[in-house]
Amino acid sequence: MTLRSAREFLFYFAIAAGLSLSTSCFLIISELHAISVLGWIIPAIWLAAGLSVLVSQGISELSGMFPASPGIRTYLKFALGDRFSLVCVYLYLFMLILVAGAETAMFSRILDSIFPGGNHWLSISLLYLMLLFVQLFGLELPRTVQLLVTLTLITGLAAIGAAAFLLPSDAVSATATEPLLAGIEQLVLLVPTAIFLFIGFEWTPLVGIGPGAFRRKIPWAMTAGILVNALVYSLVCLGLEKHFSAADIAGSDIPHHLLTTLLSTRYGAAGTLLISLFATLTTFNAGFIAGVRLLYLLARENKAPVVCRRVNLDSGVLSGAVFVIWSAALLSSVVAVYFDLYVHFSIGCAIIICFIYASVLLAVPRMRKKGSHKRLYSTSVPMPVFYLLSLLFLLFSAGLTGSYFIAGAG
Amino acid sequence: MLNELITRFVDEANNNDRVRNVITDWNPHIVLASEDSDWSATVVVDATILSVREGKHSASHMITLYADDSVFASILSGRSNPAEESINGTLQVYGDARDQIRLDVLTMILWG
Repeated sequence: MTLRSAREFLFYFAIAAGLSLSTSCFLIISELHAISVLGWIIPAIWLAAGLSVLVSQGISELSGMFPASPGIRTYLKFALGDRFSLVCVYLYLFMLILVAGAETAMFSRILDSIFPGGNHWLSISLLYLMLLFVQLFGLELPRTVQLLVTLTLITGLAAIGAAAFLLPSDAVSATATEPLLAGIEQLVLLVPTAIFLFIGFEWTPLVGIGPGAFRRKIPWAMTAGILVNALVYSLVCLGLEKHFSAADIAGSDIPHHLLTTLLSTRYGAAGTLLISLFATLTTFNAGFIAGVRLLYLLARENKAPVVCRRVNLDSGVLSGAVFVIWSAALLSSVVAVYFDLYVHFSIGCAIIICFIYASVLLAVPRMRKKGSHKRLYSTSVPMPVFYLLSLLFLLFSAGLTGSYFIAGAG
Repeated sequence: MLNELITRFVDEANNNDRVRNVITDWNPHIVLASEDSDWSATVVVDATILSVREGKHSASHMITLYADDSVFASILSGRSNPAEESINGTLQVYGDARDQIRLDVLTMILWG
């Protein structure tokens, strides 16, 4: 592998790993502890990672058939029809808006914990004004910066988790166990919730630099990104459980703050802020850009309002789609913060992504059967596995929806 | 035929003031390479003037497009929309995302 090739691979890895590491992931870690104990949480994280790797295999094969295409819009249009593809794309856009709301609410809570009594509406307004400024001037994170931010975030989180795990604990360790049957029952809820920890890797094919990238680099980078993230989350969970009870972790929306303040009372808050800022940087802006481009392309197909086709001719900025997505994200954030709905938003995202993954997994054998497109990458996963996985993700989506409404009714 | 179409496309673009406005401060080499024949061409954007060269000419700032001859013919004659061709997977565009948008804007200005 040449140096250029290695750098290109690292870039794809940074996208696959970085887009998944959002601030909301820490909330999901809390949620996992509300459902079960470490003995079941870590297997659930690795099971979710394994399932995500299988999804990434399906996406790799589809992206090898349609390289440089706008992802799920194209895959699902050819495999499952135009209308179904549109429904999924709009659901995906809705999910991005929910993510924006959840991320902002999380960030606001972090600021509130670190600077109690501060005006977090002011911080949200500043965040959104900055985002609008960045988008309207067509600014993007350079590849090197994206790479550095992601690598710093990954190594930093892994180091914090490992350091906390190695630190002697005087607290009663949370080594509570669950009976086997109850644990397996909890896995049914833990795994789909943990899927949220890996959302984002599916965007990697969209940044492919050339046709060659779809043959090996992108499939491997997605797998590596998912597995490295699983390792980081496991270390964070191990570190947390060594010192805090499951109830303490479940009661904190920002468990990484527990770890950073445990390691350093003086600089812990700054550490939390830095981790959250980096996590937001790697996901928020990239997710926003993705949403804007998807909406613009839909408008070019006459499948979205004409206003979304508006382009600033001097700068090439997609001003129409930027304003639509920005306004929707702002509204979502205000609702999430004001009504404290960030947990609901995160669960909503998990429900939508499980449904979309189910559709993508079904598209793989459908496209294989059609045989209409040459493949730059062929997965070695047998096709019947994709049918089974598709059904499993559909059940996850339905199960999450059901448990959410039952819990709500309760 | 493709050479004729691309020359006509470049001429139309050079005679359009709005296109000139869009390509100010934009200097990429836009390489078009056929997937079902040996045809390739490079559109060089330089100081608001577009010119065509036969074959692939690389530069530090590049956009590369791959498609079948019929798809290129359809796009260059304004019969189809490059964004739709991209969604259909029949046109592959590699390059910076903002460059891809500018390219799409060029065709939007010329053909609506």
